[in-house]
Amino acid sequence: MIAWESFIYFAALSALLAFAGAIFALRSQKRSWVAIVFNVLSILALGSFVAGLWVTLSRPPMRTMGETRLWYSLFMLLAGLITYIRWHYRWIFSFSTIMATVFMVVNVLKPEIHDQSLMPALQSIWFIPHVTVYMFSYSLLGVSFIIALYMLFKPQKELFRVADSLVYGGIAFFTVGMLTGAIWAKEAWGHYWSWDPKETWAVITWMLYLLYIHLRLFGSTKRKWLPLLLILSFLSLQMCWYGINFIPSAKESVHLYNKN
Amino acid sequence: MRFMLSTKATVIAIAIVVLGALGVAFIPDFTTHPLFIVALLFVQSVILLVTIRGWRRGKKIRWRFVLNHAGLWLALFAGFWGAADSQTLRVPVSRDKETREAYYQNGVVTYLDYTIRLNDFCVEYFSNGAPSHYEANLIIDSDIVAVTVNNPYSRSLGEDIYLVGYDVTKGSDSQYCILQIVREPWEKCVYIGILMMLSGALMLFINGPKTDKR
Repeated sequence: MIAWESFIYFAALSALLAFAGAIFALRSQKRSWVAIVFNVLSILALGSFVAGLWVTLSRPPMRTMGETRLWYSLFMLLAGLITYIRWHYRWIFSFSTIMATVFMVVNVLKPEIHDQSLMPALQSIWFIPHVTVYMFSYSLLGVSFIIALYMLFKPQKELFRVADSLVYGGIAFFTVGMLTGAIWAKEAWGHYWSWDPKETWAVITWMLYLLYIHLRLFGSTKRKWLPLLLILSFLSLQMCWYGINFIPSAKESVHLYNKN
Repeated sequence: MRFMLSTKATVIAIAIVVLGALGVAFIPDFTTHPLFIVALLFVQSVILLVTIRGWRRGKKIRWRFVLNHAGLWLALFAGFWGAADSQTLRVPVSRDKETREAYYQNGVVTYLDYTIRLNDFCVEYFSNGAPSHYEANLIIDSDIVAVTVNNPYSRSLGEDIYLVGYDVTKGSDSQYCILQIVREPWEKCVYIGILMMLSGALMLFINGPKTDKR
């Protein structure tokens, strides 16, 4: 039986493997297969915990804040792997590993798991696609944030290509998340859209990334500003993901993961 | 016209949506504010004009562009203009007698053109006492219909009946339940817009940033 108590072991193993992969990647001029293998093993270690938890709980582990962080770490490693295989930037594993590890550490220190049962409102075929698509999108956009930070200090023209690809992929999944959410909301409450705080911040985030995409298409803006826009968009994304939990006006939100 | 089609207008439209949504986040009831309405109209117009101008390049139809932009426009348009035709009603329904009475959100009563009665109600629980499933069995006119959370009953095109509440102190012995009736004649238009954007988003993922570059 895999339960939250055993998370720390899986997390430690996964983080160790990912760090090993990151070091191999940093030390290698070319694409390092050892780094890829380590990263794959790290994903498998964390993935087997998620799968085990799913079986133990007999419901998808996507209900609480801690559980969404679990998926984020997993997809963060995956997004790092995809970026490395596709563009082989040596440093990408270091950042994706650090970000995934931060969220695993948060989960060890403050799991926020609460109630184990899946209330009727969440029993829908839309539940799993809605949450996983978002978490995957968050992780792709998380990697684009890393790239934007890197560009602030070491501006390289070709990094824009990587950032663009990540933003296109990330915003595609983000859009699918919003739209499946709208269809689900219609089914559950009768309205596609109701300006729930999470929805409101999702629009803001969506628009900021769309602004980036359009500015890139128009090609007329000063390049310096664009990484800052990506950073701002990512901050808005954090607001959308968990920031709203701390706003008093969001007490009535249907999207709070931190209450029973 | 030239302004509405300029890149500046697009950037302004996006910025307006960001500001509008920030307004919704921080100002109560901002969605009914005249400024918000005007902003939405402007954004809709920009999207429409941009879509009409850019739907093809040469003889080639730009499917990804059209699906994303026209889909967003249709969902916005139908949601915005359809709001005036939409109604959300609450109907308390009891076991002992059929009812036609429905209430608007402001408490004003109205009458349905069909009757509803609660035939049976059933609640199941998790081991910790939280409800795992509840279901209302209704008689609408003479049809027997089951309604649960996430599974509304579609009475007609654009009119759906939702289960929103019951007597939690009595559980399966609940003598009444609360239904919500949503009349949204344009709901399928919004749905088509959503489907268009979904396909557009998939194309965005599959084709990536390159295809649309000049």
